[in-house]
Amino acid sequence: MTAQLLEVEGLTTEFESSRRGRVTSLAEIDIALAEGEILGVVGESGAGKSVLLRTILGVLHPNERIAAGTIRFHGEPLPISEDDAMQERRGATISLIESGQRARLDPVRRIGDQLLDVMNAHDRVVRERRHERAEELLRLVGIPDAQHQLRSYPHELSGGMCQRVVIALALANSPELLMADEPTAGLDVTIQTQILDLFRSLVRETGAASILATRDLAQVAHYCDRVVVLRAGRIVDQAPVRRFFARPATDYGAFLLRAAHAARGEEIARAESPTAPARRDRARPAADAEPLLDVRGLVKHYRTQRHVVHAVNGISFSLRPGETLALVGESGSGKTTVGRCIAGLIRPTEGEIRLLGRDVGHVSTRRRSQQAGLETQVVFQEPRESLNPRWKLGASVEEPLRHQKQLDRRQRARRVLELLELVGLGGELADSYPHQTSAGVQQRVAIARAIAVNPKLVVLDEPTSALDMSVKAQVIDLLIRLQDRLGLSYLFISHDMTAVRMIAHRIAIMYLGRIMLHGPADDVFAQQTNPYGRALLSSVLYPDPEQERSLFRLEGEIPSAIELPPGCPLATRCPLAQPRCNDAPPPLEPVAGFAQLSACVRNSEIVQAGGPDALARREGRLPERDEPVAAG
Amino acid sequence: MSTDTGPTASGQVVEQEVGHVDSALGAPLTVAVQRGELTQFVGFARTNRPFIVGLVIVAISIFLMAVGPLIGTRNPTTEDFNAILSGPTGAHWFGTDQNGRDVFSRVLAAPRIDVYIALVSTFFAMALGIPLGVLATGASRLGELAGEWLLRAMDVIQAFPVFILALALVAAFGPSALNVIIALTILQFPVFLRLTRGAALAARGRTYVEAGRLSGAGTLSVMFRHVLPNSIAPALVGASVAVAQAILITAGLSFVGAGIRPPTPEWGSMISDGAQSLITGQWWPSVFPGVALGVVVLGYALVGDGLRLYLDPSRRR
Repeated sequence: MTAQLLEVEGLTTEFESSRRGRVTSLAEIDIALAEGEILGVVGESGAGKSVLLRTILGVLHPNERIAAGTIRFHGEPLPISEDDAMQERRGATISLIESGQRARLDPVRRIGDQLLDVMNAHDRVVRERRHERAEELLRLVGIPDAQHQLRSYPHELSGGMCQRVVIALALANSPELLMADEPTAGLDVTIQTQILDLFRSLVRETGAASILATRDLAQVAHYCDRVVVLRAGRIVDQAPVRRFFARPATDYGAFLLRAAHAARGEEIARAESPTAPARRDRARPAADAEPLLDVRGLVKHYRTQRHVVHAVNGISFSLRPGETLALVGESGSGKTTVGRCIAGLIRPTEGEIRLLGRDVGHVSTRRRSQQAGLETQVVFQEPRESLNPRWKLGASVEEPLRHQKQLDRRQRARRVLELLELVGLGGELADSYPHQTSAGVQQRVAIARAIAVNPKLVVLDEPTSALDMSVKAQVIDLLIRLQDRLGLSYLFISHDMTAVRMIAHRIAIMYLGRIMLHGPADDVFAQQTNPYGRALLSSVLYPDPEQERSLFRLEGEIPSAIELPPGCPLATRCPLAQPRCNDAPPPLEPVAGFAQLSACVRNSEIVQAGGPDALARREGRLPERDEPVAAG
Repeated sequence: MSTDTGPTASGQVVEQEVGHVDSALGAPLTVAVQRGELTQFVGFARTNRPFIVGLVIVAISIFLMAVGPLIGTRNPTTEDFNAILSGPTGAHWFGTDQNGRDVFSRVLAAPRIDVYIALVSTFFAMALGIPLGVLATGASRLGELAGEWLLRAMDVIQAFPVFILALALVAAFGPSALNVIIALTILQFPVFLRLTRGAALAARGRTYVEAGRLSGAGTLSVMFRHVLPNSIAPALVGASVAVAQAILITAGLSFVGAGIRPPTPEWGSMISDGAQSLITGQWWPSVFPGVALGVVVLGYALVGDGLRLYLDPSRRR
């Protein structure tokens, strides 16, 4: 048995809440961590993951206190307080990477100075070496042009780059214990995998022990050795990663894993819930049906004082009644802007949006609701944000009915109950306020409001990305049922490929305001003919340590929408880029032998070679073998 | 009802299973019902001593405003020429002033004027300032322009030193309780307008406002049903500070002889009258009303501070 670096025994913490009285936040936690080991701490929000990491670091909320238990580091008990002895270790031998990227950095100081601060606070790096070390750290975390970037301020860097700087800060003093709390929250999938790959290789290189706290079981499957499952402040399951994912020993572990798989859209979800129709069995909308929504050449440019932001650069698609089109892409791809144009919240710069044959693109929301009724509704990303906090939930659901003025008060009240029941909620919730309920309930209420006036089209703008894994699967399930029952058309906007896989009939993958790949969902998931589609889908992690992961990844970051690349938007990051890619943006064309449309000048070459991976490998731009799976 | 409550929920959180949920994935959908607003408020007040002190003072001041003139030991305006400037005794607890009026009774009776004027003027200032603050965010291009002009007008009002402007207004209207109220309302409503406008600008950009527009809500409905309820909090916190300020200005105006005239019991004029005899060693006619004024102003300020803390979301858990 190897020496234990960190031993936590019987740790119990509680805090005093003015709302809820004394609350136990962690109960009898036992954890042991060996050197060089990566421990995954999973749990849904509120399970106590962050409290655990912060308690180990000795940073407690003022209302919080340790009621019982010990934390030993190298066999010595850690001073559990804010005193100097702990201050000496914090950021030196023990460090924590938190989410929130830019908020973790001081906005008025240069990156280099902030790195020096951390080293100056502890005498673990020789004074003369500190400058050199700062530059070395930036290179270590993969920031290009490190010497120059030392002089940058946080606002000059992207979110992904800021997160790298946060990691560099945590690494500055070569800690023996490196903890990370949702280090990729809020980052795009392609950046997420970059950051997590970096995190793991750094832990392996430096030999530090590490704890990764996350809601995402897939991250644990790929990046951890052992997993601890937290629920309401207690450890409910603890196992090596492979064993956990093969056969969880506890019900809750199994439940979380099922939820994660369900979110991936596997048959497992159906086995557990026979009533939930599996996507592939569902009747597809007739191919020759008159399109409900027809978008032609949509362009949206935002004019700021100095620049023009090219958010959407000419996209066209159509949506048939009863169909779900997923609009997928990283942040900055313009997918949300498209959704807002279609809902009428903003007006397009150019192009046509036809809803049932009428051009609605240039009509204000108000006029649209007066003329055409409320045909288009939106379900927003943050359920809590989208409900008025001063209104009872029932009033929020009732609002569209009230403005429509077709029902009297009593009829409306009855309809509200009906709607709540339709989204799986009890009528008594009508009298609750948003803050009294969970995010899952709030999102159901938002869905009830959206379908209240029988819209034809619902724009779902990342409706599940603020939700826990298990709730997410339930909400997707609900959306699918509502679609079948009410014949709704969905425009599903998301960067979450697992959710997309469950719900979408067709997928359009966007990049820098253009559609790069468009086709039937099954087809697109089975094989991607487009380099960007390939890269995006290969960075999606599934909760399965045995998942084969392609090395077909993009380098760097999404270019600015202020100065678009002259040719193919992907040319700056694409492993298959050629000089001619910079000539003009490639048109979206059918790919021979596939049901997909792809925007790439090398379409035919890719098909001949048998996919983007094969072509890249033939050109020596990709290693021969795929990466060995998971952690070992 | 309660299923499956973990340790976090073992406190006062009651989790109940909601009906009609097909828990396909085995997880009961739970709704955490939190403590009621009142319980939370009491819990907050209990741990915040200054806030309680402030609340008690405010309660006393309002009580005195209602019945103060009736509960003194003497009639506050009766002059007793046999007891001019007598010191604090059993008969006159706070002594008498130069006209032989009982200082204790007058101190108790003064809130009928001072607190009343402050509360009424603050109420009017809020009734004017809050809706205008919401409207000043301007929904349309025209509204935005009007909002800009309104704000510049507020700049003009606020550019004057508060007391000088009050003095000028009362001088123009003539000294009476009603005119002091009008002057104070004009003085204070820009504060509420600004406080509300700031919050309304933030609230206007929230998603529920967009959801409201998509539901078919018109501009006014959005402003008064969505934005207003969510931008009223800063003004409510500002209200108690405004009351404190209004009491001070009322007393100040009377002190310089521009507000309420003697013999009406009023702290400012009492301090002013008593100041003349201060030189000769009779401190009681001015010090007692001065202390009363200070304590009441402090009380309202403490309540304002407490409310700010209570409504600050970062302090709540």
